[in-house]
Amino acid sequence: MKITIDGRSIEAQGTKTVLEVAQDNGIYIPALCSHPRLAPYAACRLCVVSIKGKPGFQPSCNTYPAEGMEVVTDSEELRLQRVRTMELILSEHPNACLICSEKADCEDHKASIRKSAEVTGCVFCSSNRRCELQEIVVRLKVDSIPYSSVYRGFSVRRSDPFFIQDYNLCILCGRCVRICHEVRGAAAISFMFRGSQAVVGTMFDRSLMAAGCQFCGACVDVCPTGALAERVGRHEALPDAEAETVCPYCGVGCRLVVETLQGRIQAAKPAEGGVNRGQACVRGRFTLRDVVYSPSRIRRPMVKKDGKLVETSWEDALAFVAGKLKSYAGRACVVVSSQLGCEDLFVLDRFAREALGAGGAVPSLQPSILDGLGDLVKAHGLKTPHRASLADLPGSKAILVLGENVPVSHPVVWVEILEALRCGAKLLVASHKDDLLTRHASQSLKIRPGSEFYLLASLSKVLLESGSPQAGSGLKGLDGFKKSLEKLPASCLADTAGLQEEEVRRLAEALRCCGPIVLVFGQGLISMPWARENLAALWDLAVLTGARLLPLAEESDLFGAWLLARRKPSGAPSLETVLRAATTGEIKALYLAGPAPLPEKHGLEFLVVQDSFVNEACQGADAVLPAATFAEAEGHFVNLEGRVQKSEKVIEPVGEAKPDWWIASHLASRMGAEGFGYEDAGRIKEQLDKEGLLALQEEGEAGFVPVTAPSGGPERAAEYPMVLPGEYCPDYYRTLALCQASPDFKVLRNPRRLKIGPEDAAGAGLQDGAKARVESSSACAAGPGTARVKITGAS
Amino acid sequence: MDLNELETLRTRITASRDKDKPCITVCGGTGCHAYGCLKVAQAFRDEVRRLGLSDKVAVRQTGCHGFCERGPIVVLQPKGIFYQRIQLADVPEVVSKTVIEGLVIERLLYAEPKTGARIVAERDVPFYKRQHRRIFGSNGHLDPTDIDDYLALDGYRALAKVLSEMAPADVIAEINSAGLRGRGGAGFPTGRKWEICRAAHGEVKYVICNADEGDPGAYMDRSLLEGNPHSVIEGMIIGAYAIGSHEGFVYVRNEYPLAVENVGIAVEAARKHGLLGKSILGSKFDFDIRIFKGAGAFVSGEETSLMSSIEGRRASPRQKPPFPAQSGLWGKPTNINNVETWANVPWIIRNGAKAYSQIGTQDSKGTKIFALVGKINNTGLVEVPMGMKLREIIFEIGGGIKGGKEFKAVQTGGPSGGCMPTELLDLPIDYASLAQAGSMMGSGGMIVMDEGTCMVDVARYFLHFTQEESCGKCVPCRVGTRQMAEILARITRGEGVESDVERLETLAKTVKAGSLCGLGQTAPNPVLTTLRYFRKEYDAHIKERRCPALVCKAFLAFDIDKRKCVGCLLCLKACPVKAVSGEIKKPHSIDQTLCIKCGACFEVCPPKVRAVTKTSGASAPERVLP
Ligand SMILES: Cc1cc2nc3c(=O)[nH]c(=O)nc-3n(C[C@H](O)[C@H](O)[C@H](O)COP(=O)(O)O)c2cc1C
Ligand code: SF4
Ligand code: SF4
Ligand code: SF4
Ligand code: FES
Repeated sequence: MKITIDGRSIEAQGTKTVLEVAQDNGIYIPALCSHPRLAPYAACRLCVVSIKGKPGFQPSCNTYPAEGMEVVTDSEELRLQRVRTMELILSEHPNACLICSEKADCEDHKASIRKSAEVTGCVFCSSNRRCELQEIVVRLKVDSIPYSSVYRGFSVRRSDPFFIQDYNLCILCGRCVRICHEVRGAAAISFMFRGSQAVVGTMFDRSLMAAGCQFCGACVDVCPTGALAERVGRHEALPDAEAETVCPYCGVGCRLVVETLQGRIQAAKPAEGGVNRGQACVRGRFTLRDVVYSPSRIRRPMVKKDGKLVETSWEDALAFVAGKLKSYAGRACVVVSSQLGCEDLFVLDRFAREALGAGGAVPSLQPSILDGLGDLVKAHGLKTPHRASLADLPGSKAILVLGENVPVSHPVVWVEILEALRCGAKLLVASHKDDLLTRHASQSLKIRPGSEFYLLASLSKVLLESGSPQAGSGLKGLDGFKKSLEKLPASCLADTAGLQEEEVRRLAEALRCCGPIVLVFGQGLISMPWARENLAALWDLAVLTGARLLPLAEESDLFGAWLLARRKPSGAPSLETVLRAATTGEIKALYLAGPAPLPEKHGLEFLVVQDSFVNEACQGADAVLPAATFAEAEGHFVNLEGRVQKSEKVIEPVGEAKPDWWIASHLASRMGAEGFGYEDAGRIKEQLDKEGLLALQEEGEAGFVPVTAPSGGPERAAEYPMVLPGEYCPDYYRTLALCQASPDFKVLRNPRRLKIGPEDAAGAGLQDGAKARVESSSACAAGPGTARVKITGAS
Repeated sequence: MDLNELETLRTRITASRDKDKPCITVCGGTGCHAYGCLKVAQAFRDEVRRLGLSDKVAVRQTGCHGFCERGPIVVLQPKGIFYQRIQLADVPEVVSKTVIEGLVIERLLYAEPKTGARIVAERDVPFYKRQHRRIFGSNGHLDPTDIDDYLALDGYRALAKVLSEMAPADVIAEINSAGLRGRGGAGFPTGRKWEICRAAHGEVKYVICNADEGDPGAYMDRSLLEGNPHSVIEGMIIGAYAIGSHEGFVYVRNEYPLAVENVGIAVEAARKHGLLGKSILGSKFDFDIRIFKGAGAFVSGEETSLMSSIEGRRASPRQKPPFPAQSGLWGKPTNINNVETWANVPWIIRNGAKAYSQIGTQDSKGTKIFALVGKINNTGLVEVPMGMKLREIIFEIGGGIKGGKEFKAVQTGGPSGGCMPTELLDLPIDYASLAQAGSMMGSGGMIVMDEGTCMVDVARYFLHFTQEESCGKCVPCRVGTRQMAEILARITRGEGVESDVERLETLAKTVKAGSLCGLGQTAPNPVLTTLRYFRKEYDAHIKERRCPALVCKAFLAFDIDKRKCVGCLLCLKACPVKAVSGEIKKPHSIDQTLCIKCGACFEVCPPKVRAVTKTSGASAPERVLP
């Protein structure tokens, strides 16, 4: 439709507000409370405009265009109204910074900056020169206010981790409250009181922590003033540079803008656009700096001399390691973290095979959901069911989440799920716990740990029996699948999974709804011996309903690692095999570029640690090589959707750290391997592209795979009566636990806790806070696997 | 119950009732409650039973009669003998003398304040005589907890007519041609609103009765709900039918327990009689009502805020459009009307639009109930034809100003209405005239002020109220009212400066033009009208440092006229800070440096002596600083 703004004829869509249309067309209207991610609120009243035919002023942020609408955004009348409104805002805000008579000279003379306990004026405000108020004050040319200032005298709240709240600076634009409710679904903060007493706060004035805050930082990022300020940065000057990276933690791969001052990282903020659409989680938003500058960073290469690790030069270290490793060719293995970039993984993998004669680099996170799916593809020659991207979530009609506490493990995926719920999607959950996830679910089934297979198979069964047309009918393997379903014992659903048929029937009903379905699944589905059975059942349900699969990759480059591993004929050995071989002495040398739970007693003769952080393995290492973190090297990461993203180099490496690819290629060259003369990451990426290694072409026919009931499944066993679901802890970077790196993070999450139901606890004689002893049936307790266990009180 | 059964029931009820049977009606309205009417009613019941008259004499506790000033009110039917200020001790006498012997007890009758003449019948009391109690009248005749009483008074006849004879469009046309406008504030034409909601897309639509009534001093909606809940319910069912809604809410504040209780009983009774629920009166129309108890904030009465509260969120208004009729409760088309608006609907249907629009003015039809309060002789609820002059309401119905003082101003429309001076006493009460005078109809508050009222102080009081009651969402209202309240407080404290008046005007304009909802848009009215009509008082405070009405403490001075003082020691003893000194039988004096201006001396000085003076401004004694 056509509307006129200030006499200009403009083409507008009905879905954008007049304010947005004006902004899109370069017309400035001051606005404070509106935010692109939030529903119109119309509270600051700065964005008022005149509309022909309507009396008075209208807030443009809450007005939608109509055919032929004539808007005036600038007139003396409007200017006055805005100035007067701004004067009112300033009368409640420490305003020396905004309307100070010395302002013009201030920039030149001001010596110290942003570092006070109580903000009284600009120089002490953490948002000085980034404050949206300041900007508008300048544009409106407000230079004095005719009213007495009101200092509201709130005490500054500093007891929560990561950011402080100084509501004396708050202008009640409501962005924080709205983003916390509308986007993050945490609803930790709200408005309290009314009228001139109104203020943002938590229920019963509890701490944010107690109010269910996720510390995602979304509120801090939308706050236009200095009311919400990150603890660390507020004592520092403004950043002088920034670079865009990929968050190194989970598989979402949020894009982060990392701000630096004189080459040091100050803060990381979610980038607008990109997968994460301006959102991040507590890890990406608040812990990067602590991780990069962790005191446990390895700064210089070290080699063992006389039983002690001593610092040395790269030259010596490389010579030493290369020389030693050469003698172990064929009897050595390499373990890598899937939080390394594709370039690193590629070179390390080549290094393992070409220089060490190993089967390839072994990822430290195993089993992985991607491998599981890949195995099914290989075994049956079929194409993986459709993959979902995050953007598929908001448009879907039903979302089934299995095996992961998404709000904690992948908060940004959760944001998109919440968006879907707002758009009318149904959230279906089967979990053995009650948490945020089940609270938001439209249907949630209480399922016994580890028995998802029976639920998935029963869902398919119910859907098939209902006779209604299915997306998957007519596809290859349907009959085989049906037959395999019939073979399943009928009583398992109730006996093993603890589910009633009626519940499953209702869940199936929701899946039959017309419209796109996304199956979101994570580690909980595969951290047990019958992972393959689970994935097969999931696969079939997806094929049957036409649902898309969203595997919740736990690590930032898990997808990349999986893509690279596809080219190996037989695949690398599993981590479990490697560790066993190390224990028995079948292999003699181990090269660790990722975390691995090395047993205390092992038969290794030579151990190298290539990492950014001092870790447990360093103690027994013969050489320790300092690796650069994600921030210190350029690289590419493939996120859980298969999206290849570039991460820029933000700072120079800490100490003498070198990129992982650099270390591996130098070693390989010294060991005489060919084609390792990589000089920069760009070259490596070129090779990856040339060989099409990161391209995801999925070939083959779509179809069903047969299912079989898990053997040695989750049925209760007398000796180890409980099933301990492997709860994957997402809070680490390489070998560094985030709670170790960041004291604030430790306050928030401490992983060394066992959660147990009250009855089981009573049976085991355990009380809250007591120490527990866990005995497992599994010989090798490596990885975050689910296991049958016996839990007793520890003496 | 279907239509025929309804009429059969009605006939049975009327037949069983003897019109001439004596009935003692005791007002059970909120005002009379405060005077102890419950005990009085019980005493009547006991007395009647004691005398073995239970079969011959009925006792009925009714809704508010309006004349709350004189409560507890007892009217003896069928003659309509009007007794006021009835005490427990009067009960046996009333029964024996009036009910049994038919004698009128002079002492309990209402006395004309001017002439002292006693008036026997309710209808002859001047307070009632000039009223037109179309909507409110039945209150005094029925027991709100007994649906039979309502049915006996033609209750649900309008509904029966609508369901049997009228299409939804006919109903809307009828309401339109009656010219009914919303009684909750803005006066939007009710028929138009229904039409928009009817036309809005959507299967599910809601109707809401707004019974939040948070204006201080206003209690007509509450009294209607308490005294005649079925009239409101009947109106809502008719409205729902016209709009095509099947679910309704009554949003009533929890602070009105009697209203909550009575409307609850009424909804239950209506449901039992098939007047709510599925297939109402045998028709194909389904509709039910839920009662939602709000937690009393003035702003909750604003429609979008009210809906947000029903949805379980903070009661905070949102920008319109979309209007509730397009997107209201849970995003569905919603029609919200005020209690009194709903109560007008059955009357219109029963008597026709033509009869309805016979009274009123060109653009304001029918009657309006006002809560007449303040410095007036007859406070209470009055229902008058639209267009009646302020003078008539205040001086005829209201009986003039208390204590023979001078009228100074009247404020209509609740805390954000305007204050109108003597010159506007002949203003006819209708939507347009009030708006033109800078005030508004609001929901019908009417506060009368006498010469002893300081208009700056009044403005301060109201702005203080809106400042506290603003939801705090939008800047102009939240901060603007605070600034205005502060400036006004400063002026009354004697710290005003000349630029304050201009500042107030600017602020008022900014807040009016910039605020999000009606609260902020109207909050400056008290300031604007007092500036417009009582500018001199502002000047007196600021330039002359005095408060002409002798209200603002900062300017007051108490002194003792030595020539008059008899030295009785009364004031000396009364002064809390020992500012008065003197000896018995010798003139006393006040130490101005100690005086805190509490006025205790002024109060105790015997009327015959009147030696203590209260002055402001030039005539005040200088305050000598120590
Ligand atoms: C601050 C504020 C308070 C209000 N309070 C009430 C109230 O208590 N009762 C009421 O009926 N309308 C109140 N209104 C008006 C309602 O928003 C709405 O206009 C009215 O209920 C519509 O009904 P009507 O068309 O029958 O008048 C209030 C409006 C504002 C701005
Ligand atoms: S950090 Fe996130 S969860 Fe916490 S209050 Fe802010 S927006 Fe809400
Ligand atoms: S804290 Fe910041 S974002 Fe929240 S209301 Fe105040 S100014 Fe707005
Ligand atoms: S005008 Fe006042 S009450 Fe209305 S939204 Fe604004 S702050 Fe709230
Ligand atoms: S941006 Fe429109 S009112 Fe704040």
